[in-house]
Amino acid sequence: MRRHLRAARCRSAERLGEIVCALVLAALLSAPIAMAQDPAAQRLFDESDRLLAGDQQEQALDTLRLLLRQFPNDELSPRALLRVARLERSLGDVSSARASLERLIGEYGRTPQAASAFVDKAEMQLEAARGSADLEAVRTTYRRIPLLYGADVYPRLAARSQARLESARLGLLLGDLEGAIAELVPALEDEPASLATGRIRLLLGQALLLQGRLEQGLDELQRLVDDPSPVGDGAAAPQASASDLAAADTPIATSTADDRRHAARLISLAHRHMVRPRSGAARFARVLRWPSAGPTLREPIAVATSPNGEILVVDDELPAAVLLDAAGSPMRSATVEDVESAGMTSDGTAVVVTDRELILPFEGQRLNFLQPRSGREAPLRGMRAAARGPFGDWFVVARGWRGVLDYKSRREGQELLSSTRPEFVDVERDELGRIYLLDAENERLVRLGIDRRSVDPVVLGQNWRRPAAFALDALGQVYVLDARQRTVTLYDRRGRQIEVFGPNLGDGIELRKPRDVAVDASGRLLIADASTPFLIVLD
Amino acid sequence: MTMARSSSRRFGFVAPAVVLLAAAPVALMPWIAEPAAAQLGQPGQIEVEDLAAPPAGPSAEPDVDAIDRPRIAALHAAALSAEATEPEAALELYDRVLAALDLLSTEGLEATDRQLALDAGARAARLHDEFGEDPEAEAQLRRLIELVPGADTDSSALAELLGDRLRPVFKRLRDRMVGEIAFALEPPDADVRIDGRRTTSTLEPIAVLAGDRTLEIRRAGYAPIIRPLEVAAGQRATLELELERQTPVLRLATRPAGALVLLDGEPRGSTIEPTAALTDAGQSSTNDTPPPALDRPERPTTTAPGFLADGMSAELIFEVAEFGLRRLEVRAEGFRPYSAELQILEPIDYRMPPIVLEPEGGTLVLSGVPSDAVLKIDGDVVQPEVPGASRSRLPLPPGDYLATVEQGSSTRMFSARVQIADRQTVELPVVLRPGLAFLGVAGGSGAIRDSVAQRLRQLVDTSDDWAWIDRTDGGTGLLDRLGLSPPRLRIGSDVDWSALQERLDREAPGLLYLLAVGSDDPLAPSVELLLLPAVPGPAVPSRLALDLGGRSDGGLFPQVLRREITLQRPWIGALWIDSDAEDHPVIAAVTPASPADDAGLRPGERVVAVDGATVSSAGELGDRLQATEPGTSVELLVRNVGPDRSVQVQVGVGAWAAIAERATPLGRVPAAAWATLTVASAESESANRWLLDLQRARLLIDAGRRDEDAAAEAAGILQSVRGPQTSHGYGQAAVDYWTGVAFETAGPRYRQQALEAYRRAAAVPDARMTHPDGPWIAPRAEARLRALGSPDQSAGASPGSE
Repeated sequence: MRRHLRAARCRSAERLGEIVCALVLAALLSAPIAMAQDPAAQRLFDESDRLLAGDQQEQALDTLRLLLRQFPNDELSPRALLRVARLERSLGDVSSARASLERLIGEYGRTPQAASAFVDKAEMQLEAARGSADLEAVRTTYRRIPLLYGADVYPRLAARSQARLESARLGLLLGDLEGAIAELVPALEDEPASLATGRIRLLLGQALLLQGRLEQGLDELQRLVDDPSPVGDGAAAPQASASDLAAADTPIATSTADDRRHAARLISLAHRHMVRPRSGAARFARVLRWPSAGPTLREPIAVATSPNGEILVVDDELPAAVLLDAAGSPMRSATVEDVESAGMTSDGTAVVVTDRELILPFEGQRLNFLQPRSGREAPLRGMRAAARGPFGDWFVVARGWRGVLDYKSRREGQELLSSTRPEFVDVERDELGRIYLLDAENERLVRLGIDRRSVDPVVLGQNWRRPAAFALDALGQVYVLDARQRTVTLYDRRGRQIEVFGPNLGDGIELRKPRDVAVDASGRLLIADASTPFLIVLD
Repeated sequence: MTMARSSSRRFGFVAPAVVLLAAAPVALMPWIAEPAAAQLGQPGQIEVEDLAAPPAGPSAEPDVDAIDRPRIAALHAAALSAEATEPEAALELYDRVLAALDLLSTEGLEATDRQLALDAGARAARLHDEFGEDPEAEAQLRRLIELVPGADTDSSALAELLGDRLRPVFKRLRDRMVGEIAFALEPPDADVRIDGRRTTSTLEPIAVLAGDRTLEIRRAGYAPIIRPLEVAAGQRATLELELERQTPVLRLATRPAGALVLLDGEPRGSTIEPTAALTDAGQSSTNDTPPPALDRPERPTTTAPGFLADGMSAELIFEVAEFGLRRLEVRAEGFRPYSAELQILEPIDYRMPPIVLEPEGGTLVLSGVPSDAVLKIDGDVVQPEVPGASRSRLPLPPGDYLATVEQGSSTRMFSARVQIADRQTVELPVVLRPGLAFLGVAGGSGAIRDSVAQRLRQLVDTSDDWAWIDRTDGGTGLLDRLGLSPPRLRIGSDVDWSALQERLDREAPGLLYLLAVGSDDPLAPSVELLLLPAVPGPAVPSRLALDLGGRSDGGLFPQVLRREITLQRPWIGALWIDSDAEDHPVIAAVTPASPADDAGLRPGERVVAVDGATVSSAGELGDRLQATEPGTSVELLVRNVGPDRSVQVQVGVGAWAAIAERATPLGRVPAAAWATLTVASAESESANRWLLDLQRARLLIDAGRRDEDAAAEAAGILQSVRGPQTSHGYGQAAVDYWTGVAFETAGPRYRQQALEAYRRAAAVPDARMTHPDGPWIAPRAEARLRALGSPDQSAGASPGSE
C-alpha cells in the first residue's frame, strides 16, 4: 500500500512538474532500513551535546563527524548529520552544509531527519533567492516534503507541518493568496495537532482577512486566541515522536503565547478597520497622547512599530530614541542625534537611520554602507530611510540616489529602479517581507517586485503635496503622510482612498509638523508631529 | 487337500500383530503369550493393529474382564484368513482362540462364544486331520467338547465343519465324555455352576462332562446348595431341587446407571449398565413383569428383559437381612437423591418400580434479552427453552456460572456471575453494555501485572458503562501468542495494528480492546495503557498512562470510559471577538435568522454584561452563554452608539458533539471515542444519529491519513448520513465537506467523488463545519477544491483575491 501511495504521490508530483520526485524516491528506497544503536555512538553524540552547551561548536562538529565516520549506520547517524549541517551553516560554511544536507537526504532518506534536511535546504535556498523564480523553487522544495514524507509512514512529523506552512507563506509573498489558503486548510486539518497548528491557523486567519472574508478570518483568529490547549513554548520546536502512538494524557500545545498575541492584534486591527466601518462606527474612537506616563517627549520626528507591539519614537530635541510598550509606557531610551527616520525589523530590533549610518540604539551597533559601483570605498551619505528585506538585505533610500539601494552586505550594494526616475523618500517592509517605496516624484507608492527589477504600483497619489512617510498594516492597508497638507490618508490594499485624517484630529490636537507615521499591530495609528510634545495615537 | 508341514516355519516368521501379542508375559496371559507360530500370509488383510496387547502387570491374575471378545473374534478372523496359505499359523491362532474362550467359560459362555469355540475347535481338528495328525485332531475334538459339552453334530454347521472323517470321531468322543442333566429348580432363576462354571440355562437339560462334578446352586434370599454330582456318560439324569428361602430380597433398577444404593444408610452396591450386567450376570437382571407400585412390593415372577429400555440400569439385587420398615436411598452425582420407606414383611423378592432420578438443577432467567442476542454459559453458546424470547429460561445444574449475553459480536454485552442452587430460579435483568476486552499486561513483574489487571477491572466495573471481558487467555497467553512484546508495544511502529485488530475480532472479540504495558523498571510510577477499537474502528491505538501510585480518580482512563455524549449546546448565532480597542467583547458577525439576529444584535456592538454580570472578554461571554440552558433567555447589555441597551436573547439549541475534538478527554482517546460513538449510534433512534455517525467518520478520517481503507470506510459511512438541510450553521454541508475529506484521504482514485462533495459543501456559504459556531465551510471547501486542482474552484473565489 505504501508503494501504491508513493506512486500516487509521484503522479501528483508529475502533475506539478516535479520530475525530481522519482529520483528522490529512488534515493529513499535505497536508504538503510534497519539501524542499530551503538553505545559508543551514543557517547559521541552526548559529547557533542556537552560541547554545544559550552559553545564549542567546532569541537562539536569534529565529534559528530567522527561519529559519522565510525558509525555510519547507527540510529544516531541521521541526527548527527543534521546537526553537522546546521553547525556548518551557523559557522558560515554554506557549501559544506549544503553537501551534508544532500548526503542526509541521499543516505538516510527514510528518516525524519531527512525531511528536516529538506526544510533546511529550502531555508538555504531562500537565503540565496533573488527573484520570483528562486522563490518558486524554494516553494517547490517545501511542497515536495509532504509528498515524500506522508502521514501514512510518518504520522507525526514536524518538518512536514513546517514545510506546508512555509510554502503557504511563500505563496502569500508571491501574491498567490488562493494557493496559500489551499495549502493552509489541508495543513490545518490534516496534520496532527502541534505548535504548527497555531501558526497555520494564524496565517490562515490573516489570509482570509486579506481575501476579504472578514468573519471567517476573525473566526480563525479568535479560535487561536481562545485555544484551550496549554500554551506552548515557542523555543521548543515540535519533533517527530519516537512512538506512533499518540499519548492522550498530556494535552498537546497547539499554539504559543506569541501566536495568540499576534492573533489578538490582528483581530483588533480588523475590528478597527473592517468591523467598525461596516457597523457605521469610526475607525478610531479617541486620540491619545503618548507616552501615557513618565517623561514627556519634546519634538518627535520618527516613529516605528514592531510585530510584538513595541513602539519606537525618535525625539530630535531630547535627542533620544524611546521605546514604548504596547500601552504607550516608556521602556527604555538611548541617545541618538541627527535622525532621519526610524524603523523596527521583523524580529523587533529598533533601527534609527541617520545621514551616514544605521544605528541599533539598544544593541549599541552601527551599520554603514559603501556607495554602490563607485569604484572606491566611498561611504554612503544622505540616507533617509531603510528597511530590512526578508532575506536579510537592507533596502536604503538616500538623497542623491534615484533608485533604492539594496545592500546584501556593507560593501555589496546595488541601485535598483533608478531608470524610473523616482524620488524615494521612505521605504517599509510589510509583514510578509515585501518592500514598499514611497515615490514623491511620481506621487505613488510602489511595491518592489520579487525579481527586484520592477515595481507594482500600490497607490497612485492624487493631489499629494509632499508625501513624506508611509505605513503599512497587516491587512495591506497603506497610510501616507503628507507633510504639507498635514494629513494622513488611508488607502485600502487595492489603492483606493478610504479616509483622510488631519489636520485636525479632534480632542484639541492638530497636525502642524507631521514627520512620520506608523501603525501598530492592533491597528492604532501613530503620528510623530514635531510640533507636539507627544506621540499622537489614534485609537 | 494335503498340506506339507514344515516345523521350521513354526517360529520362522513373526507378524506385527504377533509381536504385539507376544509381548505379554507368558504366565499371566497364556491365551496370547505363546510365541508367534507362523508367518501370516496376508497380513494386510488382517487388521492386526487392532490386536493391541492387553494390559498386564507382574502380579496380575488372568482377568476375564480384560479378555476382549472383539479381540478373540479378530484372532479367529486372522486364523481363518491364514488357514489356506499358512495353516501352521492358523493352528496357533485357533489354539489361542480356544484358550481365551476357556478362560471366559468360568462365568459362562454366550451363544456367540460357543459358536466361536465350535468353529475354532472344529477347524483346528480338521487342519490336524488334513496334516494326517490323527491324535492331535482327536485331542482337539476332546478339547472342544470340554469347552462346549453341549456341542452336537446334530448342528448342521458343526457337522459340515467336521466333515465326514471327523464327524464320527466327534460323536464317539462325545458319547464317551458327556452326559445330560435336567434341572427342576425352585426358584427357577437360581444361579447354577458345575465345577465353578456357570451354566447357560437350567430350563432345558444341559450337557455336562461325565465324571464327578461339583454342583453349586445359589440365589439371593435362599440358602445355597453345594453338593457333589456324578454324571454318567451318554445318560440323562434329572435333579429336582428346592432352595430354602432365608431372607427377603430387594431388586431395583435406576436411571441413570451408576447410582449408589443404600439401605438404612448402608451402601448395598451400585447399579450398572445393562450390557455389563448381562455379560456379568447373564439374564438375571431382567424381568418382563410390570413393576409393582413402590408401596406394594410383591414377589417377582419370571425373568425376562424388562428394564433395558429408556436407559435404565441392570437390576441390582441384594438381600435384606432384617424385616420391618427400611429406608432405601439411591444417590447419583448431579441428581436429586431418591428415598423411600419400605415395609419388609416376609422373605420374598421385592421389586421396586423403575427409579428414575431427577437431575439436580435450578433455572436462570435472563430478562430483557434482545431477540438477536447470543447466550453463553461459561463461554459456551446455549439455547434457552424458548429461543428468541425476551425472558430466556436456562435450566442449569447447581453451580457457579458466568452468564453472558452478546449482541453483534460483542458490540454490546452483558456479563454476570451467578450461583444456581437446586430447585432455585435466579432472575437477572440484562443490561447490555459495550464489551471492553482486556488482553492482559505485557512486561512488568508478575505482582505488577496482577495489580494492574485488578485495578483496571475495578475502574471498568466502577464506570458501569462497559462490560469487562477477560481475554487474557490465562495471564499473558494471548499477548504472547500475538507476539506483542513490551518493546514493540511501546514503539508501536512495527505493529500491524490493522491485522491485529482483525485477529482480535476473530479470536477475542470485544468492542474496545485494552492492554497494559508494564515497565522494566520496577519503580516506574505508571504503566502504559493501549486502547484499540474493534473493526471497522480506526486501527490506531490510543495510549494513556495508568498511575500505579493509586491516584484516587484513576486519571484519564476512567474518564474516557464514561459514555456520556452531549449532543446539544446553547447557541445564539453570533461571532464575538476580543479587540484591544474595546473593553468588552465585540460582535463580529450574526447568523441570519438566529436567536441573536432575532434579538436585534448587530456586528460592531459590544456585549457589556450577561444577566447583569459584566463580561470583559470573548471567552468570558462564551462561558456564560454555554452555562445557560437552551430554551431559556438571557439578558445582554449591549453597547453601541448612544446609551447602552438591554436585549433579551432566547437561547437556542445547537447540534454539537465535541468528542471528536481533542479538547475533551474522550477526544484525546480516539479509540475510546470511536467505541463510545459506535454504541451511541447503535442505540440512538433520534435525529442526532447523523451527528454521531459524522463524528465516527471523522475519527476514521484521522486514522485514514495512515490507512486508505479507513478513509474509504469513513466515506462509506458519510454517504449514508443525512444531516439537516440548512443554509447556515451545522448540517448536510458539513457532511458533504467531510465526505470530500474522506474521499480525498482515501486516495487519488476517489478524486472525482471528493471534488463533487467539496462542490456541494462550497455551495452553502454560511455552513459551519463542526457545530453551529464552528469554522465556516465554504472557504475551506474552496481551498480544498483548489488544492485538488478543480477547474471550477474559482466559482466560489473570494471577493478580494489578488
